[in-house]
Amino acid sequence: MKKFLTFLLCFTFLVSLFTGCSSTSQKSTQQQVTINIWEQMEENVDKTFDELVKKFEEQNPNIKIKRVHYKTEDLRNQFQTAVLSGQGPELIFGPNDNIGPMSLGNLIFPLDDLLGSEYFQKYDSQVLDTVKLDGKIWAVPLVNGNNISMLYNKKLVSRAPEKFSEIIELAKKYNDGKTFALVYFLNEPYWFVPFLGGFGGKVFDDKGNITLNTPEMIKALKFVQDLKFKYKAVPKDADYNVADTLFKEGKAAVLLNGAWSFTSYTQVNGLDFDVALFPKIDETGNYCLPYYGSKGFSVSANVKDEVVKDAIKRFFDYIAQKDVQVKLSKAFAQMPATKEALEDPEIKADKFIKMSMEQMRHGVAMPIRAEMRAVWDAIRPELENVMAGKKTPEVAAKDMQTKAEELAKSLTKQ
Amino acid sequence: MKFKQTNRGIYQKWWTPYAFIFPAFLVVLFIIFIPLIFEFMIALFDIRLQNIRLLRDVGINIFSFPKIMKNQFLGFGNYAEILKDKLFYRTFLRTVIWTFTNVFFHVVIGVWLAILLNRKLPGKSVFRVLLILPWAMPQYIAAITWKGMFNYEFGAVNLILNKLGIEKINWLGDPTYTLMAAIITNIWLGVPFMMMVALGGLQSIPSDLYESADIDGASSWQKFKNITIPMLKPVMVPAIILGTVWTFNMLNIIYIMKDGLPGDDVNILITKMYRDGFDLYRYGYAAALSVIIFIILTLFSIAYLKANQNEE
Repeated sequence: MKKFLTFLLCFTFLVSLFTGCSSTSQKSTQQQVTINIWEQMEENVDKTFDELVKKFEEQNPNIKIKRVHYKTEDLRNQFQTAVLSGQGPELIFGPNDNIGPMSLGNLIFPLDDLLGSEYFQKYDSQVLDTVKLDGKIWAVPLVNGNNISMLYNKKLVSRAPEKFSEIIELAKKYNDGKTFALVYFLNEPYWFVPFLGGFGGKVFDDKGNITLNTPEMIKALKFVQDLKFKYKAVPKDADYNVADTLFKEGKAAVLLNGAWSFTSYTQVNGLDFDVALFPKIDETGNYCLPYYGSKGFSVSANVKDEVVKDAIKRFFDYIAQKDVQVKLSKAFAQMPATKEALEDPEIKADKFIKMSMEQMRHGVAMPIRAEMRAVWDAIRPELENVMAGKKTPEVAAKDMQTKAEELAKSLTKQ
Repeated sequence: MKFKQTNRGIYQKWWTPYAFIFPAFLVVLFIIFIPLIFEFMIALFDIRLQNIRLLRDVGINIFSFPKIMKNQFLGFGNYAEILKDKLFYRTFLRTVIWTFTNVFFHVVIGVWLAILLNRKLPGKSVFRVLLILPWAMPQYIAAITWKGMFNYEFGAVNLILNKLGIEKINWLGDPTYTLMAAIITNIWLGVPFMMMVALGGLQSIPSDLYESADIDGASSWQKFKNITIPMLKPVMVPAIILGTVWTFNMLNIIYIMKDGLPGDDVNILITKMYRDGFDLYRYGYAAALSVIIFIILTLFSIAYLKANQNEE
């Protein structure tokens, strides 16, 4: 008896180990479809998006949308891991620069065939450019912008500075270590490339070669270094949060920040500010050229089921509707992506979105090829070195070129 | 002495212990052994973004690996690439400095605090709770908080230095200081563990040893050197090995202090591996690096254990 009991005990133990593994796929007759979306939307967008999703679900009772939030860097990593294990969401919503690596790794598939050229004719051609790679469309853009513009505190500076010399002038007034002429995310390459553009530099030449060790790069590095050490126009150390907080507290005259952040400043009591174009470089007389890009939905390579594809198509049709575009565009405070919505009077009346459109005319479409990752990673430490006064711009430019080429080679070699 | 057969039942069979171990063994097999073998396999292949989809076809069946990946086979190519790179040695040196400094201060401060707490001290329980607090705090939160404190202009650390008349330090912008900032943070985090281990060890030292030393007229330094240290050693040796392995592989602090994008100037081996694997998608290369880390730590543990055994 005891023997039997012990055996039974062992057996139940073993069985309990495997119960979790059995998968009973229940295919209901209604073909209930769930579309999982992994996204990195800002908090204030969630609500609008959820409301619109609810409406979509009411119109399509057999489709459920499930939304999971991630931070930008986590989103790509988690998505990749999930796709490789055969899991993961059907849709991923994120910035267009994810497209390069994701398409290279075959984690997403091009949407030309799924949606047809007629569908994409609804979209603004310039916006579509941000999601094109090798002649194919890899995402349905939802909003466009992501450009960095200038925000200025009207209490500290009466008129929008047009050139950097005006900001340097401000630094003579605001230099007590408590109030600053200019704040921005100093060591982040995304905030640095506009300066490079202002001096006429580009990170890739027309053939796609990396061009970081250029006279323009050296000038741009020298310029941001001077802003810090020579003119003392910026704090000694400012990451995104510090810059953001200083401006919100009214301790910074000018802030350089992205279109995604504009609305958050309207919620700050007593902050009287306006937005304007990223200023001009005096030496060249050119405007600085911030990158612009879009955010949109890409479809996981694991989506094979026609029923799911059909549901995704219906969701994309819904997303392209004018009122959906307008509502989301306002929530994001970025341009909508369809031609129809761009012409909407409500959109045109929004000063932040108008600003984004204007900034796009004085901007560059961010390269989305996978090598861009190598460029970002090569610029970051060298920019840091320059901003710490540890390297001269000349040495830093040379080192970032070497590093970028090395990284790009390991990233794309076949 | 012989038991009666009837009372022994199932316990008698040769396979009985295995039956009880089996469930646990299954868990270990799936969450430790198979991933480990997988790791060793990946390290021999050139797996990167372009061919990463192949991994999906491999799935859990690691035996299909060589067949599906036959065009990606590199042998020890990944290892050669790592060991030929000067960057590896610089990073390794930094990792050794990072690990040694951390563990050294963990042990010294930990033992010192444990000795204090082991004495008759008014309000001892309050101190004990306060000293354990860093351990109770999630590392992520601690790292973010310390990152804020190390801000050049507005961080608490520089504000205090400034008050003391010392020039502000660019903690997070200068790689050397970033490493120092990370070490300070990690020392703060790691001391409670060593303190608790040492305190446990101290409490198990019989007090008559100290009493007889007192009778012999030993000074307190002599007592510390000849009683406390030898008696603590059996407890501290495993703790130090554990602490070394943990610190060597401590990703969080440096990763968070550099906003998830630490560069070559601040990376330790584990953060370099993470970035190679998950930001540059060089899976084979990163796996080979992790095998190297594994070997380094194994060798260290064996050597350290041997050294301590020989003394006894």
